Formats: sequence, C-alpha cells, structure tokens
Amino acid sequence: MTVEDALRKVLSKNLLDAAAAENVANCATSKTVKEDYLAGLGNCADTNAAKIFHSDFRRGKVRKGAVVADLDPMEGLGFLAKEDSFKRAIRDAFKMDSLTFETTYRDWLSYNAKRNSGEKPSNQELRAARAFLDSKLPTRMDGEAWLFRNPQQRSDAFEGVLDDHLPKRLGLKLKPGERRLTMSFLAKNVRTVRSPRFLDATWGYLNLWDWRGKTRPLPGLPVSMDGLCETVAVPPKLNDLNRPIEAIAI
Amino acid sequence: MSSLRTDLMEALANGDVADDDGYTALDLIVYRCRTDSGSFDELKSILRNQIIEIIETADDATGLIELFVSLEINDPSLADSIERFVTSGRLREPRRRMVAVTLLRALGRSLPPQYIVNDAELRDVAPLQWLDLSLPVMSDVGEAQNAVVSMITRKELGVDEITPRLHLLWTVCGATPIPFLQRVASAFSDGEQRRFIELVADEFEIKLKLIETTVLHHLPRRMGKLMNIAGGATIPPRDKRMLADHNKKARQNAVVQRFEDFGRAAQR
Repeated sequence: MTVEDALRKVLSKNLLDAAAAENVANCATSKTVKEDYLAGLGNCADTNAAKIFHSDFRRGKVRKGAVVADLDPMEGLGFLAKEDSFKRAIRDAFKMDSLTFETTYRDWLSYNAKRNSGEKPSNQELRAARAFLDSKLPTRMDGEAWLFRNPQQRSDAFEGVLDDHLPKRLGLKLKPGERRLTMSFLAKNVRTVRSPRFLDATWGYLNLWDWRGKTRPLPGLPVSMDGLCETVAVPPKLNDLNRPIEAIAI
Repeated sequence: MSSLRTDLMEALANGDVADDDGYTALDLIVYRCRTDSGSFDELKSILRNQIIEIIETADDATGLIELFVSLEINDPSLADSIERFVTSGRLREPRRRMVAVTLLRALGRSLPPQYIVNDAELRDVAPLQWLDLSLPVMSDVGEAQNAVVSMITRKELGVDEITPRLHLLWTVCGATPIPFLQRVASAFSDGEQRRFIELVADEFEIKLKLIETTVLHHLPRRMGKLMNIAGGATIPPRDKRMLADHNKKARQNAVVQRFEDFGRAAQR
C-alpha cells in the first residue's frame, strides 16, 4: 500500500485530522517508515487504539531527525513549562511536602525576579536558587523537550517574543487558570538537538506543529505572527538555564 | 454530595496521575477555582464544613497540601477546626497527622513543638517530612543538630536531600557552625563527605575551589583540618603553595564560566 492509499484510509476513519495527516505525509522521514506507520494506524479500530499504536510505534525513534545545520551554539532555545508539572517533579525529587517545597520555590522565583531587576537576592533566596541549580535536575522528566528558536538567534530565547500571544504562537494546549514558566538555554548546552518529525510528537500534539519545522500557532493570533522555528532535544538541566525564569498566567 | 466534592475526593485518590496532556485532576480543580469565583467559594465551603472528614478518609490526603498552597487558602475557621482535631489526638495514621499539621502551617497557625517533634511514628514513616516540620520549631539547637546527625547516620538524610534544605541546615547551625558541620561531615561516608564539604564550602562563602581541590586529595584524613581552614584558620605554608596553583586555575575557569552561563554563575 502506498503512502497516499494508507493516508486515505486513515483519513476516512477519522483517525487523524488534516493537520496531523499533512505532518505525517510531508515530514522528513523515510517512505518505508511512513508506510509502516500509516498501515498500522489504518488497522486501528478507533482513536484509543490509534493512540496506543502511535505511542508504541515511536518508541526508540525519537530525536532521530536531521541535525539542525544552522544552529548557533550561542543562540537561545526555549520552551514554556507547565508550572504544576514542573513543581511536582522537582518537589518529588527534593522529597519535600508541597508546603516546604512551595517556600523554596517562591524564594527561587523571587531570586530570579531580583536577578532580572538587578537587585541583590537575600541569603534565603540564594539558598533556594542553589537548591534548584545544584540539583542538576532536568527541566522536564518525560525525557523530551520541544524548544523554539529565537527568531533573531539571540541568546535569550524569549527576547522579542515574550508577550501575551506567545503560548498560542507556540501552539500549546492551554487551560485557563494555569501558569507557564519561561525556560531558556544556550543551544550549546542542549543535547541532541534535532529537527522535529512526526515520531517526536505525542498523539495529542501530532497536529499542533508544522512539518516545515515551525510551531503551528493556534487560531486567534494577529496575522503578522508566524510560527517560530522549533527543535526537539533532550530536556536541558536546571543549571543550564540562561535567563531568569518568569511565571506567566494563562 | 456536590459534584465538586466528588471531584475533589477523586482527585485526591488519583494523586499525581496526569491525563494525556499532563494535567492531574487536582490541577483542573485548581484552574477551575482560579478562573471561577463561584467554584472557589463552593470549594472553601466544602473544606470549611468537611475538612476533618476529608483528612480522615481521602485515599491520599497529601494532595490537600498542594490544593491549599496553590489556591493560597487562608481561613481562620478552617485553622480552628484542624487545630482542635490535631490536639484531640484522634488521628491515628501518622501521614494524615503530617497532612493536618502541614495544613495548619499553610494556614499560618503553628502547634506546640511536641505535636510534631515527639511524633515517633511519623518520624519512622516519613523521616524527611518529619525533619522539615520539626527543625523550624525545635527550640533547642543541640536537639535539632542531633536530629540531623542521627538521620545521616541512619542513611535517611544524604547530600541529595540536604542540598534543597540548606536553609534548614543554616537555621540549626547555631552561633558556631564549624563544629556542627564537622559532626555532620563525619557522619557521612567517604564519597558523600566530599560532596557535603563542597556544598557547605560554597554556602559559607569561603574559598570554594581551595577547599574543593584540596578535599579531592586529602579526604577523609585531613577532614577536620580542612574544615578549620573553611572557618578561617591559617593555612600551612606547604598547602598554601599547592592550593595557590589549584586556585589560580580554578579562578580562570570560574571567570570563563561566568561569562558563558548565567545559571552557573548565579550559584557563585
């Protein structure tokens, strides 16, 4: 079965939407892999089965896309982390209850704010910062990160793009009431930076990126705002953050 | 039973289990309350009327702490209920006692130290949480120091656990930190000992690289001496020369590092 035939079958069964199908069909993956994937997907009875198939199929195949040729070691790569998931992961690593952790976390945020404004952090805030930075924990515990590139290749990934539109511009699934954290790293400190392929996306995000290597903005953005170039990589560590983090309310 | 109450009990039972998009059921309740004041009022009313029952019966009551912290719940009547409940001694399970005491603290209320410090069951079941709750309320520095050292000896507290708790360690150092830090360092095994010295050397704003590089060569035999150096004692001339060499290289590396990386430079 050709890629086109397999794709028609998958679309007729409503297992992928148009954007996801476009990503699979066009992304830089070998024809054989696409055929195997789409044939397997086409045999799934429903989206639940398709989700499980997708998750199984991509195992061992993530971050195998092309090396990002024009990546400057000093340019910034960034992402907006879910505050709650981030806090839970670090809290568990610290083996703390939520209240003790929250005190440390707020001190760390305050440290970041003071670094940003040029104020001197208190000893308490410095200790909190050291707790996070010395831990050398990854910024995400699920083993993979999608990082956008600063359009001007600035070292601070968020320079010139941090505004109210950024979460939508990045094509993130968002819940009103949640908070996101700005995380930026120098490219040279990020391991295994690759161009994204559909195999890098989880099922829920299969349609929320663009096979041309850009984020796919959600509807409602000003027309002047395009997607940002993005990469996939091993989640960088906390001590590799290169700008003070900020919490953004959604 | 209101649907929010049902959602809450289910969320507490689910713990940290997240959906496909990475949200836990508790996250969704928090977001709902942040964006809808009616839901938040309803939640506060449920907590006000049923907090004791929830602490006693929830599959995993620790989620309540996250809920209180995330929503910054602050209600004196809630604190009164929990305080009466804790002091009545009715809570049999140590982890639920820990939750109740922590909630009280989140509400800005503290109990007499014995309710947590003397809770041997909690100490056995959740030693780190016991330590986090106990150290700030122990009035006797010696007692607090003994608690720390004894946990290290029993392998309940390692350098990985101390790193995020430097603020707590600092509070129990007393007027003369070096003897206490020496006791702590002595309680660690060799590998952990070196990591601990590196950690406190940084914290005490002494010459990190000096201590660090020396420790690599001399642990554990010269441990006490190095700690004295950390405290400002005179460095013997033979060591001075060796350390000066190490220090020069370390300083050069540190300067490069500072320019290269905000995150790492921030630690110094």
